[in-house]
Amino acid sequence: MSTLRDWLRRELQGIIPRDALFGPVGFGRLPTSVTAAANKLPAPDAAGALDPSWLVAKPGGNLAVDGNFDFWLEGISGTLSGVGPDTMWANGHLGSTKVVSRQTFALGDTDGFDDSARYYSRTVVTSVAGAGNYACKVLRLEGVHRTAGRRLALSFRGRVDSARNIAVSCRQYFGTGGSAEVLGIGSQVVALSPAWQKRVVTVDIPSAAGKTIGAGGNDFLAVYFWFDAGTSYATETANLGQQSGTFDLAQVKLEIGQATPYRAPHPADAAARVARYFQTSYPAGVIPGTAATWGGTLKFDVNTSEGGYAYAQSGFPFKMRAAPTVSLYHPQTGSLSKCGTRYTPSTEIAATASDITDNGFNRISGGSYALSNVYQAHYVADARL
Amino acid sequence: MLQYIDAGDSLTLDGMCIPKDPGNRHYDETLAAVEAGEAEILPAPGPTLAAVAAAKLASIQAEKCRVRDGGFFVGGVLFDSDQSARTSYLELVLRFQVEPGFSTRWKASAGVWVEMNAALFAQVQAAGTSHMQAAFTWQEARDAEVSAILAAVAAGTMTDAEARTAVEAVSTQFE
Repeated sequence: MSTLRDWLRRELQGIIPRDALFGPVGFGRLPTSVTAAANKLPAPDAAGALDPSWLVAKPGGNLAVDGNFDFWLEGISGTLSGVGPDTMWANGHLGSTKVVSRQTFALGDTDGFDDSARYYSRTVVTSVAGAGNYACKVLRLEGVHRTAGRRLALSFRGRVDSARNIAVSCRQYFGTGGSAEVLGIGSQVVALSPAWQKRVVTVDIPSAAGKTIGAGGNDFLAVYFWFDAGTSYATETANLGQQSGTFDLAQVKLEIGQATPYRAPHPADAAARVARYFQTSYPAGVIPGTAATWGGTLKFDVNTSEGGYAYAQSGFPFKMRAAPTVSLYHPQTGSLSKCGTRYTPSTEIAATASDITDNGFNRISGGSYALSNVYQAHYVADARL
Repeated sequence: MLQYIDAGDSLTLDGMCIPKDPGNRHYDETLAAVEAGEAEILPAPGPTLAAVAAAKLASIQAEKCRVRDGGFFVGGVLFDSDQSARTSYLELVLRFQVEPGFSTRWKASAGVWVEMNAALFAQVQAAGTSHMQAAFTWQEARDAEVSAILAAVAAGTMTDAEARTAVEAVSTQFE
């Protein structure tokens, strides 16, 4: 037995004829003696053929922002329908209910995966019968044009409490004022089991020729993971149907073309990508709206030339996708729509952000701000699709 | 029904400040909700009566200070009355107590010099005291007007809107 590296070295040294690699079957032909598992590669088929994309795979190229479920900036569990608690995901339901939570892999759990992972996302669905009822998990990819007219490979690790199907499909949303949404693209069911399994599906995204994209810049391709779907969604979910259950997802990757192994991004790269959509001044691990440190807060001072306002001394660390929705919190108490000063740290002063752009917000108002004082507030800026 | 507040360049709801940017998800959802009749956008409410009253009292206080520190006339000569001048007058009181015949050149105000002696100082002291008292009397009267309005609201004899109008009408100009 030899590792792939050993085998390639021997091939380069002429020990193994090049035809063994670039043989009559074509690129990607491997001798069956290669220990694929040691290199996190799929086993070659009986003829020794290996999907060539595995040999040319490079880290990156994942269109999904935080497919690794590393970012839970607003909390690590939630029951609402909408974006979060996994920061870059939307978790929708109607009629049926669900609990979405961050779960942690034990060390060694991901040894058989393409790459290591710390977290996965769990959705526990309680199905309620109803034609219009559903529960799903959605990834929105900025810019509907990026994937239009292309074949996408969606790969992910999935696990369920007992053998059952989920469904995947895509929607093209052309933004406010744009062409009508296209639903049910590539609808198909995917079978999962109680053991972690990697699944790869391909979806052909329709061309956007003849479509109009709205001027607001909020167009996207949505990738749906359906867990529970009433009959109203039969077409869009390939007749998945309704079901309760526990659904775990990890290492979601979306690529143009063929699927390649999952590669976890460097934390700094991942953080920068997420920051285009969501930023907070709170320290890592601190849920917005809770009592916290004054460190990292935005600061505002007072200009006597325009009463009633305090002006920001800095902007967002990263430029955002669009002007975000901003929420302010008192640094010490965590109260919403409040700011404070270090001079009287427990005093809460009303604060509402305005002049909001993708670079920051210019001022706060709503409170009584004194000359020469510096006011501080934690913020959450949300520019997610 | 959800009620958003129009705050000029943004909308507010439950502490969220939503910019009027068509690329913003919340703004997009807000417009859709309004169109569906599930939400409405209300104009920003004015400041509370308490805030209006507080602002008026602050303006009255500022006007009192302006008048108090603005100087007063004795025989057609403007004498300073700011904090520094009032400290100097106190020093003169002490000097005249130990030396009634004391006399000196005295800067009454910018560019105006007089010969200060006990007789002139007596006039300055009387005029200054009267000036100060007038400023404080004016402030007390205005404060009382505002207090009466708030009391009327508390007693139910005046509406909030009437009170706002009445508070706005209270003078902040020293007569």
